[in-house]
Amino acid sequence: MRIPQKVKKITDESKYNISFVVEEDIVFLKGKVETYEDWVDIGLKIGGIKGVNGVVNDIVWDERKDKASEDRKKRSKRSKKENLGEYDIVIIGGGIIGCSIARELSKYELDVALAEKEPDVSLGQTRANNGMVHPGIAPSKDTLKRRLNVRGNAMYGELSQELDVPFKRVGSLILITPRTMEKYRKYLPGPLYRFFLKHVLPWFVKRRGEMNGLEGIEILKGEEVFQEESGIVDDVISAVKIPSTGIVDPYEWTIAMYENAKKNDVDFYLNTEVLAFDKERGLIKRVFTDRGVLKCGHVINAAGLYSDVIAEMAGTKEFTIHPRKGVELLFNKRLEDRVHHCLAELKIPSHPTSKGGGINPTVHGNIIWGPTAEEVESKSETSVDKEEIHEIMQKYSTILPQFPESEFIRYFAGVRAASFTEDFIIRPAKKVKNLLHVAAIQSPGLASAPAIAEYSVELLKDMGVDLRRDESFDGERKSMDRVSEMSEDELKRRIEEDPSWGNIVCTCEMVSEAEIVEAIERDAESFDAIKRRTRAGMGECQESYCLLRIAEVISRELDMPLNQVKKEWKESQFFDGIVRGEEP
Amino acid sequence: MKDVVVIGGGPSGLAAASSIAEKGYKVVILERDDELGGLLQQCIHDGFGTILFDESLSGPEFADRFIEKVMRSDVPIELETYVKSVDKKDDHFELLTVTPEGVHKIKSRSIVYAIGCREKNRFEIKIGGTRPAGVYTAGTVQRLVNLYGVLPGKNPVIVGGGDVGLIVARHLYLEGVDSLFMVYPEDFFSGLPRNAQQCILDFDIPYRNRTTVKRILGDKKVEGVELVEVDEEWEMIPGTEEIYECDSLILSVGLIPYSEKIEDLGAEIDEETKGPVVNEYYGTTVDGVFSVGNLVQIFDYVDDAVKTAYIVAEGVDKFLKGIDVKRKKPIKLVPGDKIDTVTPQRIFYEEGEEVTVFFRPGVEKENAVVCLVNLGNVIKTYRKRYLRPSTLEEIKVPKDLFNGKKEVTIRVR
Amino acid sequence: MSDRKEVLCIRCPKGCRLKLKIGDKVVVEGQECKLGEEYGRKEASSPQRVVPSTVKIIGARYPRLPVRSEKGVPMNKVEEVIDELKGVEVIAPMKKGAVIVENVADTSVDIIAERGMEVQE
Repeated sequence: MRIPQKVKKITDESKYNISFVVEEDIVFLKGKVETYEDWVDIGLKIGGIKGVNGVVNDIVWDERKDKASEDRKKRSKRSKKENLGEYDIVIIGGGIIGCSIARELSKYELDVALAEKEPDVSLGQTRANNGMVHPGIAPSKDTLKRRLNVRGNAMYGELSQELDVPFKRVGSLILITPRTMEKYRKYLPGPLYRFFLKHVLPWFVKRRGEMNGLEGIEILKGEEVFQEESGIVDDVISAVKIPSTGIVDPYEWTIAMYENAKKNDVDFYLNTEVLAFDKERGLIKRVFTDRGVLKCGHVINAAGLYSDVIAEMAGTKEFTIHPRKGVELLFNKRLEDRVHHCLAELKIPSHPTSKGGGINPTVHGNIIWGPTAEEVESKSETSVDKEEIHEIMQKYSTILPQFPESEFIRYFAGVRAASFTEDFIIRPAKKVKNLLHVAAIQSPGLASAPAIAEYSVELLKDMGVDLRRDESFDGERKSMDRVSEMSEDELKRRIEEDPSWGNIVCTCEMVSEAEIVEAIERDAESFDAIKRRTRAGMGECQESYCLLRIAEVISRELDMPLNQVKKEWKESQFFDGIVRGEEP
Repeated sequence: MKDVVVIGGGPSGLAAASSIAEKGYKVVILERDDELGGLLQQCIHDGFGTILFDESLSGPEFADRFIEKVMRSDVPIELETYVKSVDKKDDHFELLTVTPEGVHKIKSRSIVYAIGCREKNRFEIKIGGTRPAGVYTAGTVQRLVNLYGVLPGKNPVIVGGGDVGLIVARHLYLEGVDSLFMVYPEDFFSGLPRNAQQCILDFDIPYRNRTTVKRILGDKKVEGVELVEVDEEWEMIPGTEEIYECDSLILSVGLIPYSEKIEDLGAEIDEETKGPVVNEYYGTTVDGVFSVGNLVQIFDYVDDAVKTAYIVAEGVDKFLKGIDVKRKKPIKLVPGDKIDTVTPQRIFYEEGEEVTVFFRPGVEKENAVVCLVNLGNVIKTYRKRYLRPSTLEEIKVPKDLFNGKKEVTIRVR
Repeated sequence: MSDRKEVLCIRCPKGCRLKLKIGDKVVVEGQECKLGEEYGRKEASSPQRVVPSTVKIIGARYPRLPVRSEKGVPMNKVEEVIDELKGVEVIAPMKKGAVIVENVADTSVDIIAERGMEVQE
């Protein structure tokens, strides 16, 4: 069957009246459904058809006000005429993908600009990532995800050296328990079920990994599992150990990419939102932003959750992003010794809406549980409710029954930029020949990021970008010095030079005043930007001791009154007003 | 080699240091802030010292009594000092400190931890919603308003009717917010009646009981909160949600002892108080490590917290002199029916006249009888005019009562 | 004519909610003991409050100096006292107990510094 017939079969089966057009393997849907769930459902069904390259879901659902116009209203900002410069490449989006591409491009003799609407890099999907560098066992064989994941994972070791960012190959354990195939238990009577889970299923998992190109996979049985991870639930039957799984701090990584790209002359325009494109003969010539105009040779759409908006803006609508929220729980560092690998319980079939997630260590010694997976209507829906916290606590305490699941110190959520085809969309735009989509990068996007950057540059070459190595490229980046990691002698020496190294402002994470000042020198202007660079405020007390102390340093260094210090955005000023309305 | 290092220069640490120094020991005080006095420096309202001095002092004034005393003694004070690590050696401790002057090793035969407590944050009580600017603990706001003269917002909501919340409400009201609203899950303010009257009722500040904040609203800055009514168990009642617009949320939802550091040293932690388990002289379960003040448990009055500092001086003295009249096995003092917490949790020494025992009732009860029970037998009773969970109670227990016992339970009849 | 007022007794942890009728005679209701009655009468006749606040200080570690009324001022004068502190500025060093405002809001009570503050850059 060809694509249109397959699509027709699905729309015919639907209780709604859905019309569609297929153009260059992209399916455009129109019609009306009653609920958001139905909207997602039909999109996913059609995205699942083999050969479909994108689903543009213009179906409206009942409660949906005209969403496109709402999006447009939000962008009612006026573009500025001022000329910001002329670039060979303009990257839209400063998440891990945009920043990784920026750094990759800075190896060549190209003028590169990156526009990011937020005041710092890594503020979108990247920020809430749990930091797991997936090995590449999960994606299906024919996907772009699989290839880029395996390659990206392999690139992390060397890059982490160059960028001076901690990366640990902790390995992961895929746990097989009596709950793994509960649904199929009836087909495997008596001891057969256990036998299958112990001797057959692990072999299948291992085989799948090997087919995907992974090496060194081990099968652990019974006691062997506890030797690797002692806190695991007693009834675990077997486990598959994948040695290449790693962990990294996603925003630290992104900031490192940003700093190194900047050092190699990429121009970063933060607080800069792309509002429109100026095209001539089907090619984008100028990018209009609220800060000014960027002339460009080629454009890269790495706008994450908003990559479909950018595509539409460029006149090449070819996919729709359906936001998928993930909630995570972060635990006290004191529990560091409880978890050594990335852990997940294998469930077959995987739950359709709550797949993914697990228990991971972080490079800083916290343990992180999650994320959940929930389809949400809004791309900025990152709230967390009590029920969601309990859901996570319940789900993962079955794997680690002795873990004190109430000792979390924070919860947060992020939104994944999922497409209906559920694969990365990395290709030249169908209708705009100088626009490269690097979109729909959801999990395993972090693990794939270095390979995505590399692949994007290959595609740019095919699109006609002249790639000449820049001999002056310097890929080395030095991370911030941290008092908490310094030897006694080193710290003594630093304090002698500058006493502020000995002034500890965040006592939970042991962060000094000097580090706060250095973060400010490295472009951090808000409390949260400093937090991401120094870890101040990330400990047990969650800012209650250090907030004012750090705000005081920001106020002094940036020469602004205390009541104007910001948490993150210009709209998120911490405090408001002086007592009795007095002069500050 | 020092005899004693006191970590923490708040009221309890100061009192402990000067009492120990009076006994002729070599003491040093380490304080992380750049001045002494701890949290009292931001507690500018009066009401401190009514028990100890029979005077109503402000926080800074109360602190000053102890600061002056320490200044007059020859106890060295190390400000801006961060204790990076504490190692237990055979007969002493080795502390590594970091200060703007450098990195130092301090050797001491014993340590008194007086590092107090911290405020619970929104995550610990699982408030849902977003994570915007404008959510603060009451103590942070107190510091902000009283030390910096800056307001947290124009129309804050305060959640929690405890003392810090009440006090902050009055400051905010008097110092010029446009509006103010307090909610709390209890039936009535959990702070002292005095504070409820003088901070809220005096000014007709609006409040609502049996209510809490379910969710925080606003992406970048607090735009409002979703309030919900709660039942007697503090469970939210579905269908009672209501949006309230505000620009900041202030949390006064409880304090917890800063017990991590002492737990790292191996001290046993009491699940109920969340502070270290201590004996009648405030020694922890690690020999030579003592703990006083709000680190042991949360006191309602600083006066009571300071009492523990006076008692600890005796304990440190005994320890340093090596007086060995310890019982082979300490007697356990445990909370029984209708009692939430008891300190001290262990009776260690045979000698001594009486033990000052603090307990927090689990019920509200008039003309209550508090019983000490051993093996099912009541061995002593105390009458209390009125018990409330929000008020810590004190009793004096004669030491000989413990002779020959393994465990004594305190309960309310 | 009589005024009605509700106050919380602060004499013990129970915190009885007292109802005061203030006329020629003061009637206290809702108390459960003598202490409450006594407290209620005092609250009815001349409730007094110590007022804590801060004033701007120049050249010290913190920009505000904590101050309070030396003793209680009539309760209905509290807001007036605060108003009078608006715009008051002092210069470091400041001594504990120093009089910042004399006879604040005509209460014949002084506003004093709660603590000393040294000069600091």
